[in-house]
Amino acid sequence: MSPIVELREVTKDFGHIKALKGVSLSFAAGEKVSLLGPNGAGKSTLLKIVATQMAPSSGVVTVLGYDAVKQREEIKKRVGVVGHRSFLYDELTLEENLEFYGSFLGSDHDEVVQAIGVTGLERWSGVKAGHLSYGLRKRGDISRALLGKPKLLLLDEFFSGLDREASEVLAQYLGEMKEQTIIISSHTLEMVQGLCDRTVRLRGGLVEGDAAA
Amino acid sequence: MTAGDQLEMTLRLARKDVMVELRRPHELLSIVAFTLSSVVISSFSWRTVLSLDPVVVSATLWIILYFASILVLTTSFAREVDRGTIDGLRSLPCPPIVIIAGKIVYGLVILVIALLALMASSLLFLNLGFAYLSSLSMVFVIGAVDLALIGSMLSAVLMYSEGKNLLLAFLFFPVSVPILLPGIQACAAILSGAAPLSLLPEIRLLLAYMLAMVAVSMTLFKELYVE
Repeated sequence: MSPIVELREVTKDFGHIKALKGVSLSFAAGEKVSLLGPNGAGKSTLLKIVATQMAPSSGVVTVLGYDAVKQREEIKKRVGVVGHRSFLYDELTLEENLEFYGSFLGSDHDEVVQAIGVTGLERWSGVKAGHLSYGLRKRGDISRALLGKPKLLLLDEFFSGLDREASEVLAQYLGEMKEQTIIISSHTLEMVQGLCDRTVRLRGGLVEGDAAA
Repeated sequence: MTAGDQLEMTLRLARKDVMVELRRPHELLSIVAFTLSSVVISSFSWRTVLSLDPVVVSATLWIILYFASILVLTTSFAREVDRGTIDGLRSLPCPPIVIIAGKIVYGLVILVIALLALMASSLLFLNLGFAYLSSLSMVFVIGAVDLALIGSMLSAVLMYSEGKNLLLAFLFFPVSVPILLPGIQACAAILSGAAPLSLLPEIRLLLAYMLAMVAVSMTLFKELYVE
């Protein structure tokens, strides 16, 4: 079975700074993978390249069989992304935010309501995102990322800034998602170890370790 | 993806920005208040309004529109970057041209609101005749499209710069000159009672600049948008 994500000798330079120095990895369908490493290890860069938000300096990246440089839009339709900062607009309600993002993915109102229900945010659907707590906003971001029924979820520094209780609630939601391949970046092992079945360690833009959790 | 799909996405993006703007009415109101107060202050300072030089009136109106454009357009991409939603826009499955087009349409909508305030206050306080209104509006709307185009593009170019708002204010001037000069001349001619056909050279210049900026936006923004 072909991997859902494949990176071959991927590099990324920002001027003289080399964020990735030849990373080769592949991720199979249904895997839940944690990307671990200290700040500056290249985790966010790698996720942004897989999400096609950033082009690699060299190397080949294929996501769901599509080329990550030439077929960005095809990939974006099938990948859900949660950044370490929220993509929700403060002035719009949770539902309006999801309607906006969903409209680009062909999601109808029912799918928006369903996505809000997955993270248990029905009570807050009419509340402006700017009035939501950090934890609720993260849940809102998961709902947004689930629009369009993505096959791959990319979660960047997902548990950062969350207290233990909120992290456990979110980990539970993610654990219940059996259909998606999930890649979560984190600088600590604590929250992701119970959730993921594989751990990839990055350091200084290189893969330092890759093992089953 | 058809051109119709792209247009629909552009309008959706612009609608989102206008909604966000209307939910933060203090910003829109500050632009309208700036426009109104500038006209009122001009009116008070020119006590002999009936003998005003059309060039002076025209230049004043364009200067007000120019500064209103800076207020509108500095926030265009800067706000997306400051709040982290720029990555949300990047995650949308649409060509980069749709993103910049959405910002241009949004900028134009807000500038048209500022223009309405400008025209209404000019009728009241600068004694502009109703007879000039349609011709002036046509020139100002073409100018507003040009300003929205260059403002949105500059905002995109500078979105990751330190002190982007200050830089935009400085850089906006040289790229606005090809809009301001023919715009001021065309409006002065209208206020002097010139025949509509005599405005053609200025209108052509404004339209040519618009086409040039559309071409620049289509080629340059793609490079800026993908990190």
